[in-house]
Amino acid sequence: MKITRQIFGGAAVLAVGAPAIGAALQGVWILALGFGVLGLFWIGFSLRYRLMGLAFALCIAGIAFAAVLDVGIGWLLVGIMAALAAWDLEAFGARMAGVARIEHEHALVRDHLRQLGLVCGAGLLLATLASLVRIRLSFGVALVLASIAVLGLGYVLRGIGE
Amino acid sequence: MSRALLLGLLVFALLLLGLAFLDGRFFLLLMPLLVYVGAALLQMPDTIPVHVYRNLQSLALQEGNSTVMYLDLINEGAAISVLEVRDQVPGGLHIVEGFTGLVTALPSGGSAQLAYALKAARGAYEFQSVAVTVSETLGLFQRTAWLPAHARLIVMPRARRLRPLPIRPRRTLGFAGPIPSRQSGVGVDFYGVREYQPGDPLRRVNWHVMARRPDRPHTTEFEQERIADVGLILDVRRQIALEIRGVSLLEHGVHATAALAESLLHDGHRVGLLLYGRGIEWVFPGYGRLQRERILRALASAGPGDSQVFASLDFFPARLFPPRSQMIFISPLLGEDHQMLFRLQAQGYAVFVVSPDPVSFEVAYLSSDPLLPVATRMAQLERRLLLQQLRQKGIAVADWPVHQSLDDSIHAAMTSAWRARSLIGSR
Repeated sequence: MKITRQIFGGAAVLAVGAPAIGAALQGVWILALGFGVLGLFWIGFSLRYRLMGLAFALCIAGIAFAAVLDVGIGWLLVGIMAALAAWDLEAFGARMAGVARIEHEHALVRDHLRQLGLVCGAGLLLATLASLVRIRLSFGVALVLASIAVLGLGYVLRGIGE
Repeated sequence: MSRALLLGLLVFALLLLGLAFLDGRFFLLLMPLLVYVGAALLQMPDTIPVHVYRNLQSLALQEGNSTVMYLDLINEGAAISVLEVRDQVPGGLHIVEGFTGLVTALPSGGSAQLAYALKAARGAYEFQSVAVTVSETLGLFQRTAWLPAHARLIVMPRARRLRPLPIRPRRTLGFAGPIPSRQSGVGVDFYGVREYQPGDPLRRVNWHVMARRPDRPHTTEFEQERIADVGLILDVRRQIALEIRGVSLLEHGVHATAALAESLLHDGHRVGLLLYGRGIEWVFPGYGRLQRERILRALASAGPGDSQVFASLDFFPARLFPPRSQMIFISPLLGEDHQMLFRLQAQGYAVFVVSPDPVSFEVAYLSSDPLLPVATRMAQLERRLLLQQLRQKGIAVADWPVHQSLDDSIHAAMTSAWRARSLIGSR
């Protein structure tokens, strides 16, 4: 479990560090400072399971705000991918810590890290490829696509709730 | 908030922001999150194809001993990335070794075992189900089910053996035992002298009498020693089940009953048990180790009874016990109980009362108070009066302060009864 702690630490630093650098390059020092504080908060209170979701949500909110402020998308993509990894590893660590006995612990950790690596890599790759694509949509098509996305996500959310 | 819900809300928020600002960068930010959710959804387990089998090393054990619980989990479906098992252990059980939870990965057809050693106080414990959670590798989506795995563990009271009890019921049984039967026959105690009958062995001719009466030889008779029917009655009425700081007076009664049963069965008597107060919980009289096991199992689940019908001894089922047998009543006693005990005595039963002292039991747990000595004195006087009434009617009573030796209290009471010539079962 030590390796997951180490990877979590690195991912958390990257999750707040990359957007902070992006914000600093853009000259938004307040936001960069905010990311720094969030990083301290996240790593400092990482042992408290209930705060973990809050730190992740704040990080995503900060990245979204940075996108509004025209911070470089590359920094933000790296940040969101790292935040996702940190949040996942935090939950994984908390779950494992809550159980007295773990069988085949190394295999479980290895499988989890492999899956997480694949997902993060695929997400980053897909986002990078998508950033190269330029499609001009008419207002009507955009509206239909947006409606489908909203309805689809609503359906998924309802399913998750159930 | 669950992780899946939080992630879903964040995805939704980013989507709405992208639409609100008409900015494609929000959709780019969305992609790693969507890939994560998608990967988890693809691997999400549909069912829980796990079967759980529970196995206890011993279904019944004595207080202080430990047993091992085994939970075997067999995966009869597709491979499970992460399987989490938590056994629901009934309250009162103490885990001495091992763990009640397990996380593992289970391949198709694979199995895992969870084992832990446990100890418990006297009682009957029901194991109902096991919480099994399966999830995909990322742990975003989980399915939990309570799989039935029933078992019952009985923890019997520890039974200490007492010194042989000098009981004297009016009727004995046909087998040799430790109780003088008031009949001549094979024995060791002198019973009497009668005229010589042809066929009497010469070794039993009483030469001292013959020296005085040479014309009429006499034979010495010995008293037969037999076993007897003994009925143990444990009073489990709610009114007498005094409980202070988690310690119950009934617990002492249970242990006393177990010790009496152990001792009486060891002496060869036929012993039955009645738990009075929750209904008629009756162990039919019997002999030996098997009967000991039956009685201890019945005592394991003895608890305070709230039956209104059996709130007093008025409905005591005396007919369950063989006529003129020995009854041992284990109870702290209530004020009106002596009437029923008198009736039993009058019906020919030899009644012996073992009474755990509720006054000394309660005082030991009370904090000091200026009025406490006076109140204690009054309660003791009231109790002494009740016990005196019983003794005056020839009922032997062992007034047992529960922090002292039961054996000593019983034998002191028996000796006292002998001295007062009101022996149990005397005519």
